Amino acid sequence: MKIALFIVMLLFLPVPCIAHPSAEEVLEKADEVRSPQLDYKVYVDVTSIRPGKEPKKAKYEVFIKGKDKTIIKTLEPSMDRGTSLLMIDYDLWVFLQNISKPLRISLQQRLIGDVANGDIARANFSGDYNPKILRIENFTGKEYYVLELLAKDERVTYHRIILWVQKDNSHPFKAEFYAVSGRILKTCSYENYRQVLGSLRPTRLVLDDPLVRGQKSILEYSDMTLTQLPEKYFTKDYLKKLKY
Amino acid sequence: MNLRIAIFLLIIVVISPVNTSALESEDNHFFDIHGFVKNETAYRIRSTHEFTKIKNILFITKEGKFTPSIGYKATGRFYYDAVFDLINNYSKRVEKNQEDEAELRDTYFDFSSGNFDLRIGKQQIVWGEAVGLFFADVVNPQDLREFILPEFDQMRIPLWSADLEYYRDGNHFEFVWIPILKFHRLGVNDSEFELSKPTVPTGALTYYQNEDKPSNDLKNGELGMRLSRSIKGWDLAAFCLYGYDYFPTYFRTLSTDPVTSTTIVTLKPKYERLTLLGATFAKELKDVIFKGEIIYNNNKYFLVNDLTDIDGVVKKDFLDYLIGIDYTFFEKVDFNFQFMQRIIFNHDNNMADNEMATSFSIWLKTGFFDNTLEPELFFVTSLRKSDTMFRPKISYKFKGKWTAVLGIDVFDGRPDGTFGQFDAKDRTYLELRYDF
Repeated sequence: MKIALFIVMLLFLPVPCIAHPSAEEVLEKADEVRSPQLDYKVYVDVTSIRPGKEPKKAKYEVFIKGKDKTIIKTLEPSMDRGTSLLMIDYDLWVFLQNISKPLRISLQQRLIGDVANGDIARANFSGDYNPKILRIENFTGKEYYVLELLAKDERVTYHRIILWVQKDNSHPFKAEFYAVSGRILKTCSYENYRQVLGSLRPTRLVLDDPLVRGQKSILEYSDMTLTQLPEKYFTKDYLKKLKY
Repeated sequence: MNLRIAIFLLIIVVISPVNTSALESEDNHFFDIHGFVKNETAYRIRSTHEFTKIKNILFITKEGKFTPSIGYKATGRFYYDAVFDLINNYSKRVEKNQEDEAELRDTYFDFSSGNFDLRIGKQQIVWGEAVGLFFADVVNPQDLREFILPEFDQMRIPLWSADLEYYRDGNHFEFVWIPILKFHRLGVNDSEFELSKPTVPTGALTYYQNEDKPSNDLKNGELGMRLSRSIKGWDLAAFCLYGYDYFPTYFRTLSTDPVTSTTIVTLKPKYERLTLLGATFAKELKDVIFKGEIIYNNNKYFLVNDLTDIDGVVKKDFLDYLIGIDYTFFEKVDFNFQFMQRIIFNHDNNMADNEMATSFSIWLKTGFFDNTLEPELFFVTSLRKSDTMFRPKISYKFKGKWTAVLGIDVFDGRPDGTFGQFDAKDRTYLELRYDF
């Protein structure tokens, strides 16, 4: 009788939970690692490397409010200093010193050097993409969620992204970016994790062009600071007031 | 006067404390002065071939914040045009007017409190969406001594003014007060880009009187207001400006010399009030930017050809509008097309201007070698009469600080056309700029 009771109790014991988090949760946690989900500013140094050419350097100061508002100030090179970019959702404005007024531009225009506007302006994937967990991969002794991200809107920089996120700490590890045609545009590795604003965050992104051997852009993030950014800053009429 | 102010301001900004806040760069250090030095050399390639400009420019600017809510900017521009010393092409009058200049440019204080911002000082207030042309860009007068060929920020004449802005719920309100008046700066007689003056009867003696400018008192000031808002991706704005026609109106009187019986035409340039009402829009749709501007001008004086007219001018309302698109082909070639029209209401047959003037412009730009080499062209032409400007150029950027530009400015058309009047002034030019 005791044995029978024990067996019945065993049957009704809670089964240990082995369910995985949803793709959305994985992506949101990965976004939180990439950037604090608060108003902040960060400096981005971009080094563009082309085979056989002298590396080109640029420096930007980036202000991010929420998931969809960004201001990019160009600090270097000197000839581009004073060029500001405002991105709200998928709308984009540029302020050029020699014109002195904000101009509406499309996301296609490349105004901030060799990287796409979205590479700097967007630090969150979850607002722009619908995620799906493709599989879990094991390599170098660690487990990674492999996410497929499909663009919610055709105006985003990349149509499809494959993102590897470390399972135990949600650290983005690497990504592949694809065009609508299915062609791979670039790959990215998230490197140099450092303690920034209370969390380990990647401070270097290496964007490789798989079609041109040796061609890459290195984005280095520094001095990430939480700061109050009023709504008025993120209006096209405020662009002329940015101080350099 | 300007030179002294410029030097004073430079001292102020160099010794000014730095107090960074939210949107100010923290690399803005004590002696962090930026700007450029530039040489602009132009050579006329029509009629008499000769150098028309060997201009050397120093442009310096310093900006920062005294406190988190009080900022400043100070800018000075100095130039010397060696063409007047090296090549004796122009009259003393032109030399005196254009050889050198020290000018205080955008220099102001910014005050911020909550949703209010106030900018007081010498400033450019720029409205509108158009590319390559002034349209709704109506607040600042322009230095037209080199027509509309220089960069627009260098052409606009900064105005001593107050610009109060208020941001709320996505709306932007702007109130502008301009107590100190400035008008377009025009090339003097015999200068390279002297604008055409009213035509006078053949054989008549013509006298130009001194300009009649309104005095700088409160009742003569200019007032402007603008409301803008973005709604579902549409950038919308409406504005009004109670200002002036920045071009002089030539009031004419006719008389006859009692001895020789020669007709004497006396022209008196005066600056008259003008009220403008306007609206602008911009919208992105499928990677195409659509933009437009419309400006209604109330009570502008136009010249009449009728010699029996008592003063040679007539007051009319007119409308300017522009519709444009921007598109980037193959993610490589930036393209802009603009269609423009001016309609004069209650047009009289004896007016010098047509009832309707229609024109369009095309702008193209692309880049090679990582956008270090950028060919660009701007073309604008009238549809009804021969009147064209064509501006191809190629820019080369190197070492992050240097820009070299080689270009040609070609004008074609009738002598009474906006561009045709400079038909004999086609030029090629070379510019070299170092940014610091």
